Amino acid sequence: MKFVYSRRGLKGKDMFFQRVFEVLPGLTSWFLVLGIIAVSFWKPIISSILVIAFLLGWLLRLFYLTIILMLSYCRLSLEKNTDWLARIRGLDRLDVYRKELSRLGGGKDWANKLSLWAHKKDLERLKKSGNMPPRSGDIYHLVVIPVIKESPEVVRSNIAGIASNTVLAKQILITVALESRAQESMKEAIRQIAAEWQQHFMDLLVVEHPDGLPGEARVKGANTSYAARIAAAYYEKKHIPFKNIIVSCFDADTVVSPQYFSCLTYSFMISPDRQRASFQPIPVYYNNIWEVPGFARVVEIGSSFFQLVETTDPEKLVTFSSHSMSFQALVEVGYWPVDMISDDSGIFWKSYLYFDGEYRVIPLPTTLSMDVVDAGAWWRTVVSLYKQKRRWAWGVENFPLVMRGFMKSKKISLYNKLRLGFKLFEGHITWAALPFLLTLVGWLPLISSGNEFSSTVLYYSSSRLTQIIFSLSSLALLSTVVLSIWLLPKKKKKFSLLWNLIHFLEWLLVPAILVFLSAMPALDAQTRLMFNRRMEFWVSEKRRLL
Amino acid sequence: MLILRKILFYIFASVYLVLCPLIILYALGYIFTPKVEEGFAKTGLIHLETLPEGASISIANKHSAEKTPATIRNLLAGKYEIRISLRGYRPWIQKVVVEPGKAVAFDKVLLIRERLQKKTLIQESFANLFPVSGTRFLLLMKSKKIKDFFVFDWKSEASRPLLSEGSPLEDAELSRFYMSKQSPFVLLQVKWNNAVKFLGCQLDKEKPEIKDISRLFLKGEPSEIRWEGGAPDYLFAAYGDHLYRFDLEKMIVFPNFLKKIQGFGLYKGKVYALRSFSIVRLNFNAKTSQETVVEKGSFLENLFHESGHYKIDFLSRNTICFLGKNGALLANVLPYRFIEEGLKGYQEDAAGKKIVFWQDEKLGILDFSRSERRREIFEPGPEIDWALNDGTMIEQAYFVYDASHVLFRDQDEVMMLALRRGDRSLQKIVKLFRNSSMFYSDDTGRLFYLEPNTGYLTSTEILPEGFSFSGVLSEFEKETKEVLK
Repeated sequence: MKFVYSRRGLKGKDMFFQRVFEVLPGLTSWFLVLGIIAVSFWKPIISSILVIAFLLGWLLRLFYLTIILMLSYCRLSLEKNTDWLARIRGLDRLDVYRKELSRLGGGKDWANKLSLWAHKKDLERLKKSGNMPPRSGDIYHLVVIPVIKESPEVVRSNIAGIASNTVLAKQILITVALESRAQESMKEAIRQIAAEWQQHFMDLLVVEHPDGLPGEARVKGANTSYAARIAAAYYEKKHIPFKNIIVSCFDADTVVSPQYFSCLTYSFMISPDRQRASFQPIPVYYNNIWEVPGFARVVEIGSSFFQLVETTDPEKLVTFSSHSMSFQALVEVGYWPVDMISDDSGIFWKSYLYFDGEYRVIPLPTTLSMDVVDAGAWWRTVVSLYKQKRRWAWGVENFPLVMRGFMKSKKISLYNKLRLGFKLFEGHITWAALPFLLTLVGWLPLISSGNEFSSTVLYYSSSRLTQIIFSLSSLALLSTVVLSIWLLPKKKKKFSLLWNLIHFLEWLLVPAILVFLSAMPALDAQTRLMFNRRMEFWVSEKRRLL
Repeated sequence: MLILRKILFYIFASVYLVLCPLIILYALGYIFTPKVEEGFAKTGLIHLETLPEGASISIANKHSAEKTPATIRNLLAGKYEIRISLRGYRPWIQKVVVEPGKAVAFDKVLLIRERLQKKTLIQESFANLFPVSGTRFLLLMKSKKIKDFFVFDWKSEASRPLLSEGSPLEDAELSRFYMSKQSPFVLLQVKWNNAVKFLGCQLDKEKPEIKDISRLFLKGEPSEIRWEGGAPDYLFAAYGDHLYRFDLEKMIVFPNFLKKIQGFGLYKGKVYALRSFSIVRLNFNAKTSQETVVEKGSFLENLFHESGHYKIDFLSRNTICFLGKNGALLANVLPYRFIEEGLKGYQEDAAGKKIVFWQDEKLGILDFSRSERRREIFEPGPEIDWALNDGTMIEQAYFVYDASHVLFRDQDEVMMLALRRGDRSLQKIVKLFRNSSMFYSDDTGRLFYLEPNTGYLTSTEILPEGFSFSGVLSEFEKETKEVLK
């Protein structure tokens, strides 16, 4: 479907609906937060019943997500030792490979057995589809790294991470997308890094994005799209078909593992609908995790876990942060949105609408690591984190565009429109309102005390049930803490027992973090969207001991 | 993974759909019981909190495993007798009616020891004690001679003579003394060498300072004197319908500070005076009578129609009481006139929101904080809760344990009355020395009085040791601190 995925130049009905859907999320979040307080004053009995129903739902959801998180962790662990390169090579000679595999049982290790079982299933599906992939030697990677004021050393470690994929490195074209408004010293440093690393790859281009091109806003998407267009010309010159190229857009602080590109290539090859798909690794924030203040660590572990949970539901998965996709698809849809801050999720929705719903995100069973926000002083880190979360929450700008797209699309089924529209809407509302509601509901009986309601059985029962539910929820928190111990990278230096205890106690900050560094920035973003106060892209402050 | 996720989702959704209505019904009080025909019954509950905690509970002669504080749930509608017992304390027994879906709460049950633990503080006989309202001092009197007066600090339990040794005022005899709320400054009117003297005493000094300020009182004995703060700069004295200001530092008199007044009160450095058609305000340190009218209207004349002087007392910024000479009690909240005559005195709670007042035989409570909006034609105001009607000669009362009880003196006996709806239990506490006063403070939880046989200053525990309920810092305490600054 031809749909302009932008709010620029809208008129009449389009503008009206755009504004309606821009106002809706913020209005709903505020209505929920203030509504529950208002109902507590006016109809405390109804409010108490709602609170019980809400808390019970939240508790079950928490347990459900904790189980999903565990399962997702297991899935990740399952593929930890997988030799992706061997699988890629196997795909190049599919029939023989399948026969070879049928003789293998996976040994005694249950993880190997399960991994092999899943692999065989994938091969079977591919064979059935008849949509065979190009040979692995014909598959190329384009990596776009947008840079504006990130430290050159951070970019260097990003490139070094990509170079560690030694076998495939010569099929990788790196394009460092440099903003022309970046400092000259920065540009020079990037050019030096490029010269230093160029021979490791197929090529390494440094593309300078001119400021203020027509139709563009000062956002990351404009920079990456410009660089991708230059890369397209490069590939055309070399007669490399776009359908054989996987494009990855990496934030400057991304560090990938030596297996990353083999895993990505495998996922691309094994997916029959590879030209209609994005590939989403699990972004984790581990690069400087032990160097940042405790609250920042807890915030980003939470973000990593959220992504881990999200990847278990490919039907509703949306691209986030560093991601990959078919270059052919990227060119067809007209590259990343050039006037949106949330270009990462925007590109998925843009593609979904362009291909009339025939587009999906395939989760990659691998992680890539990024930096936790760290601005030096703890209070500056708080401000920085707040701004970063607000920028993420600004992803709500996709909602009005997606809804308008759904209204116009005749090919996307109503079920899918409702399912995805609700998920997008509910996700943002939950983000902004849930922590406030959880904080408030504990106080609601106090608000109601002193009036007639305080002499009812419900008054006493609701306080007791609230206590029980909150106590049970700590079980979920405990399992998250245990999981974080398994998942986090080893500490670079040895901490004393006291510091280890403090690291454990950091988790007690969760309630405050949920309100101040999650819900509040989300509500802020939604309120800005409500009042049509647009945001500009703001680069989070990050530091790393290299 | 996706299938597993879906299975889990449907399991959790089903659990929610089953559990949610059941839990809500339980929260509303519904239980399944074979005791009723329908199987399901809507129950009530009883919530009990005692001081001290950990008391045993029996309901309808059935011992409960729970100790206070406790909520006894799932009680079918009906009458129940609750008995709370704790070793060494008097049992607390109450009959209640439990209604379906309703909770009966006894959240401030104060258990009194079977044998009160008395402590003799001064082993000397006194004739009377006088609490200096809102301060930590008591004045102890052996005889009317000033040399027989002692200052007792009930926080540190230390005492000292009011007069320093060798003072020429030793033979002076007290005729009257004046105190002002929240001030450790007291004014004594004494007879000395056949002359009337006025002595200002600062009780909060290490050695009480006494200053002769008689020359300010050229016009004689005023009908009322008031001041504000710990070490006041000014005293305000009413002579007929004129208000005089005495400057204690410069020792000068401002004779007609305000004229034609019906009464006055002090609040945060300002004098408020009642006139027949208005209430005016003037700063303490005003050089001329540049008064500000804060209320005006003929309704004031109808309201304050009794002849004579009114004492104006600020309970808080918003609540003002007016005490008429004949014992009328008025306030600035509807219905304005509360008691027409016969009021003997009143005491406010720590938050300045409630007063307990007394007539000879009656004890009443006025709660100014209650402003429940009801669907009525007339705007409602606080109503008097007559807590006791069969006293003999009530002369003092104090709120106890966050105003959940009242401790009062009826003739020479101290009694305690619970103020809960449905629980007006009355308990005898101690007997007092003949015609002597008592003092109680929630800060210490102790009652101070003179032993009936010996006149020794004694204290006894009302709230358990280690527990003191200072509650919310009273408005007045805060304001006084501000004034003192």
